[in-house]
Parts: sequence; structure tokens; C-alpha cells
Amino acid sequence: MTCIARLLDRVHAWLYQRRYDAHVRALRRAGIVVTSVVVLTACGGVERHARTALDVTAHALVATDSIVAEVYEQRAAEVLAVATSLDDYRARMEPLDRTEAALRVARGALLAAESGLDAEDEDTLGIVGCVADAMDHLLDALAAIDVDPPPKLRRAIDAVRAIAGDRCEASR
Amino acid sequence: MKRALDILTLLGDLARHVVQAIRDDDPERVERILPDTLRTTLAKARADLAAEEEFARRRAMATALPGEGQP
Repeated sequence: MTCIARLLDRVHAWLYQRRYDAHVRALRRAGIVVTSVVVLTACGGVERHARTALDVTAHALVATDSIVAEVYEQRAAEVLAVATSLDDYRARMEPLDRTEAALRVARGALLAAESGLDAEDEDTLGIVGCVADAMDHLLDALAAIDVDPPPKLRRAIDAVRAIAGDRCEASR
Repeated sequence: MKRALDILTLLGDLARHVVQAIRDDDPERVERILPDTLRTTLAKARADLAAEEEFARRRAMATALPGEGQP
């Protein structure tokens, strides 16, 4: 009886080993697939990476704009209720107006960067670097009105900085 | 035979992943992502208009009050 049990154990172990080997082979194959995909997608060149970074940043800007628009409407109503004059209203709304301006500048920087890429300008990275500067300016404006930037905005800035570094040739 | 089938399946998967990766990596154009006018800009325009109307109304009330309803 013990002998049969031992035999069954061995058969089970053998089957388990075969299954384990199959898993290892499958993982190896998956590794090859992943490596191939990474290598193939990494062969896009700087321009492709720059366009991807602009794409991500544009989506982040749209998300940020939605947040700020709601905050603007809410605070405008609050300020209007307590402001004593139109000048007083405008003075109280100044930080929010600066944020709105920063959003517009960031939008313009993104469009300019894309135009630069389309035109195959020599200093593509310098133009893309200006997007990061504009986004940094937007972060400062958001901090001034106590609005947390969406995480995707910070990630987008990191992506742009990873490509262009601290260069912003167009504004200098 | 089974191994050949596995390899074919693997190659099929690989091709599918590569096509998907290329498609996913295709960046969208910024001009198509960004709206012509930002929502915040529209909110500011609306709020500015509301503020101007509100203070115009208050001015009108302030100037109308002394003589209003008096003979």
C-alpha cells in the first residue's frame, strides 16, 4: 500500500514538474513577447517620444482645466457676494485670473511645440522644453489658489522634462 | 503537431501585441485634444459678465434709492 502511495507521489511529482516546466516555458515566451514589444515601440525616435509627451501633457491640461473651471465658478460666486466694487472683485479674483492665463499659455505652448515638430525645426527639444516651463508656471499658479494639480499633470511634466531637460530655447 | 500549433499561436499573439503596441503608441495630435477655448476661460468670461451686471445693478439701485417712491 505504501509502495503504491509512493509510486503515486512520484507520478504526481513528475506531472507537477512537467507542468512547472510548461509554466517556465510560457513565462520565457511571454518575456520574449514583452521584450520584442518594448524594443519595437522604443524605436520611434525622439520626435515620436516628443509627440507622445505632448499628447500626454495635452490630456493632463484638459483635466486640469476642468478642475480649475469648477473652482473658478465657485470662487467667483463667493467673491461676488462679498466684493464691494468691481475693482475689489477683480483684485480678489486676480490669483484665479493668473491661473486662467497660465492655462492659456500652456495651451499655446503645446500648440507651438506641435507646430515646431510638424515643421521639423532644428531645435525640437528646445521648443518642447518650453512646454515644461509653461506647465511649471501653471503648477505655481495652481499652488497660489490652493488647488492640487492632478497627478497626471506632474507625470506629464516629468515626461516632457525627460525628453527636453531644462531647455526652453524659444523663450530665451 | 501540438508544439507546432503552440508556436503558431505564440507567433499570432506576438503579432497581435506588436500591432496593438504600435497602435497604442500612436500619439494623438495636440490640436485635436485641446479645446478651442478652455473651460476656465469660458468660466472667467461668464463670471466677469455676471460681476459687471451685478455691480451695474448695485450702482443703479444706489442712485435710484434716494428719490425712489418719494413725491
